[in-house]
Amino acid sequence: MPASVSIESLSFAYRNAGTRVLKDLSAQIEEGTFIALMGHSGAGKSTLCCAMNGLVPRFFRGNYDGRVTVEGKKVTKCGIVELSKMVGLVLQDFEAQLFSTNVELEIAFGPENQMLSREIIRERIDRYLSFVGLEGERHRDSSTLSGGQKQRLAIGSVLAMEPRVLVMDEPVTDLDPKGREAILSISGRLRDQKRTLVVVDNEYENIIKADRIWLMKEGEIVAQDSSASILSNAPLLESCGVMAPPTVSLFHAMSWPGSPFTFEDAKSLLKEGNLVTRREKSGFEECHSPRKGNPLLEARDLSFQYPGSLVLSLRNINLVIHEGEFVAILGENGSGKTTLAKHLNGLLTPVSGEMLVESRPTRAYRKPELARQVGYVFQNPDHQIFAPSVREEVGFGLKIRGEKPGIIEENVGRALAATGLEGYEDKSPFLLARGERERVAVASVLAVKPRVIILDEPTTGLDYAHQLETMRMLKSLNEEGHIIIIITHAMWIAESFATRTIVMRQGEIITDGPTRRVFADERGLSETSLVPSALVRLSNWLGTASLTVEGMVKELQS
Amino acid sequence: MNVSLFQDHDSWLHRLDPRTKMIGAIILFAIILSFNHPLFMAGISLGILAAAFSARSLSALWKLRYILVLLVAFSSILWPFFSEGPTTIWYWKFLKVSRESLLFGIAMGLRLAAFVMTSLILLATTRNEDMTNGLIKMKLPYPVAFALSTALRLVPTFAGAGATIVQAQVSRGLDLESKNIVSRFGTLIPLAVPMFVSAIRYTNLLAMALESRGFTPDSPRTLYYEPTMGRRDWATLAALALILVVSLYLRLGLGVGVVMPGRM
Amino acid sequence: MGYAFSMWKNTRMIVLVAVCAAIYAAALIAFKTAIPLIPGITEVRVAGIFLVVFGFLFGPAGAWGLAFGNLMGDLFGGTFGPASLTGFLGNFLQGYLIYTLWTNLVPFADKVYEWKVKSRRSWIRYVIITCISSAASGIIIAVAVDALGVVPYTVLSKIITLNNSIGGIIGVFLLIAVYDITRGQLGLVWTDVMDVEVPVRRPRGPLGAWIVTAGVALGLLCNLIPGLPVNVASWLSAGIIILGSLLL
Repeated sequence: MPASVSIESLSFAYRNAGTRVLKDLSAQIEEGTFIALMGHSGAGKSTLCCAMNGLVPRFFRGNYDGRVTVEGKKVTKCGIVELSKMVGLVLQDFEAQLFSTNVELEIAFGPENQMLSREIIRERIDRYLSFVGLEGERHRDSSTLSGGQKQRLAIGSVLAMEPRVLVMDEPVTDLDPKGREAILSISGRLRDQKRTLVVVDNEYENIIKADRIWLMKEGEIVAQDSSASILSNAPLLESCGVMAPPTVSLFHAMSWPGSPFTFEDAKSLLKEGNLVTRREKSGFEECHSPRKGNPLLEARDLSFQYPGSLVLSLRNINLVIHEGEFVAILGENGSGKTTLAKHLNGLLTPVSGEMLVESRPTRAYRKPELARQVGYVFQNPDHQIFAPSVREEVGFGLKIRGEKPGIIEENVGRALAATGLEGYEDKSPFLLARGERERVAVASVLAVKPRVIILDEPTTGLDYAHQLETMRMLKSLNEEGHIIIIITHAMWIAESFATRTIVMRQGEIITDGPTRRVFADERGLSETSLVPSALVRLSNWLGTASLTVEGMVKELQS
Repeated sequence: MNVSLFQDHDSWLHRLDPRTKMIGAIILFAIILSFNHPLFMAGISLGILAAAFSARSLSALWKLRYILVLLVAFSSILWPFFSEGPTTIWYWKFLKVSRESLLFGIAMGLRLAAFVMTSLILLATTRNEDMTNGLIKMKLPYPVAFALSTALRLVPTFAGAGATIVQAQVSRGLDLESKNIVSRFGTLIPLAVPMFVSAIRYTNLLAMALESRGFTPDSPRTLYYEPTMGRRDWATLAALALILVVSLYLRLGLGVGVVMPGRM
Repeated sequence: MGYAFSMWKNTRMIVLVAVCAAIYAAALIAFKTAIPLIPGITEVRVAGIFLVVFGFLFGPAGAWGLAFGNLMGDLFGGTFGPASLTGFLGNFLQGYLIYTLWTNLVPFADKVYEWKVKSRRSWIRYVIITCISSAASGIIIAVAVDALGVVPYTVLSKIITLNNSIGGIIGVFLLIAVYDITRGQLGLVWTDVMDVEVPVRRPRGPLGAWIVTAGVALGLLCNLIPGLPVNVASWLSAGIIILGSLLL
């Protein structure tokens, strides 16, 4: 079979950068196969995607060696319009890919550039809108779509140019579980149609159906093999900063034969081999109930409605958070997680009911005063970074409170140490990598020593190694006495770190309890389209109390 | 912040070709500039209001009620002191207010309000794309039209980012409630720098997505929505042109509709 | 004028126009009704801090961005009218003068297109160019607005000059904060985006620069010149500024 895409000893270094991002890569993609690309952040995955559709080196200049051909044509020799018929690229940031105000025009945009006739464009709009399931939204303003719908529209509008190869660079990373589900079903259908598909995604659940996986590390493809053999090699995956399927790790640690990725596979392997006896589910609450301190935050019958909105964003919330807790808030986008979190530090004040911090309503505080008690780290660190050096950035909160230089320096030093940023004092925060910028944002909240730290999706956009690092840091802060509250979509993070989990839907809290108990109720979770990870489902089935590989191994061996 | 003023109804103004509406607005501006008598201005303003009513755009106008009131009030107060007329009705030292300057002030306020209402009807009845397509049909180069429509689309995106940045910095203790001018000034950089950097980071991403979609600035492309000038369009333009000619004749030929001769 | 037109062939520059226009317009609209100086015409412009930064960093894209941003501010702030056309021209001219004067206003001009925070000459150049470009913009807008019978020239030209100069000079702190990342990490300074090492300095450039400066001086001082009516002097000044700009 002819190779659809052929990469031959490709090297690339960005202009103004010394080191090469891609180092002498060679690989082939056969027509009709689904390739998954995994690797740590900075491994060169996105650069490779751009090299396939010619953005490297036409758009991103630099030192380019070797060649990339698509169906025999060198991409560097093709014009922009010609390339759009060969390789389509879908990006992680769905906002940046939409240029029109209504859905059908968005689909039309690419074909318009390709100078297709109006009749053909109309046919393509019909075909691809129904393919991505947006035919009912044809005339809607695209800015009013949900995140998942926007990403579907972006995929549809790339498909409408009918490229021979479709490349998707982390298409689901910014989406909530429901949005992910829809995108994964689209990529499943593309695979069934035998489209040539390249998907960058570091979460193995999303790419189980891939024919082959290319594993990248520091600009090189260190392994390319069938997905089954790559995913069952936990040490290899982890050396590339990719999370190995925890069920695989569990099987290896227990010396059970087989490397299952899904709960069903694991269950049937265990049953067939008669490898383990299931236990009674008991003692979950004692085992993981958080040590409770004094109540610090309290919501009483809290309701909230955004001005101009017709529905309540929060409805009768009752909630008490005690000292020492590590809370995860889960739920779909729009379920009210962020709105609730913004009440905790007084950014929003309830329409009815009360929000109390240390038994005093947030209304009664001045905002800077409240910020001292309750720190809030926003999702995107770029929304707060402004200072020329990490030291000034982290010390900003103390400086505007008029603290003495000595105290500022001491607290900044401590915050940097806690976030693993020692030695970064004089660096410019803008020039750091995304994961490091995230830590600067945490450090700058930490420096004022708030008793509560709220983090909105602290791990989005980080690779596994950095996610783990960030979460371990939060855990140690929690052990030092800070209340930690995180909003997240990543199930494994809530499962392995939070002592208490709150699940929200349509502005209401529907479940609130010790994490182990919340995750034991799979049916309850599925009502909010949350699916626990394969490991947790296995733990539920086995009746173990722990939700981590290490903990389960310990229990199962005792 | 929702800056799109477009309202999706089906009225005769919505159905007009975007070119008709843009040229029509320019003719209307000229008509508004033809008079400076408050009664004439009030007549024109009422006409524009009637058009807004027939296009079901009154709710869009209602959003701007404060600006409109402010414009009329401020102009009526300011102009009497800056222009001179023969019939003095009040004076104090070098300040002088005449009957004519007072009327002129009211007329100028109404004139500004008429400008605003005209452009508002245009925006409330014309989709962003249609405006862009109309401009392209009127020989505006595509890249320019594209930049304009992208900018319109980005305003709410950036306004949203701005709101988040304000919240993020307030959460760090930035005091925006302070009355002190000097400390207010100090809040500028912590807000402006993240705004600038996050928007500029976005630029590369946007340009990259654009090229992946086959965008080439200087080559021709299909327009999926093709505006067409119909009979109604020509009739509307002809009617407006006729009103302009009559207005010019009234003003220049007969000298009607003027309280302050020699001023536009 | 060459770059101001050839930039429309460059996708990144086109996107920069849109981004600058959107930021400028968002800032204008957000503060439109906060502190109006002359309702419907001008207000205290917090957005002014972006003026010089956009003009300097993004060159022609910044100039077009300011022009479109101002137009959109008028449209959505509810102050659109015939005066918006001169607002467009004035804001474009301000951005245009910033990047052209930077290398043309000898003896203050720089041979390379760079901002050096430690160089005193960079600071002096910045302040001078900010004031000249602000005044040029103020004069052009005020001449036309006066002709429309909306606000007297002498009042408006000075308000705009002062307003933009103050905003522009405060903007230097923004420039210091963002220069390295824009140039180094993002590679978005216009000379890099358009692949011009140093903008070409033609012999007529410095001449144009000084003609503009002379026009600005005339425009600001025109009510002090005996025997010359203000409206003649102001139109003359606007003409000289445009003539000089065309030479740049």
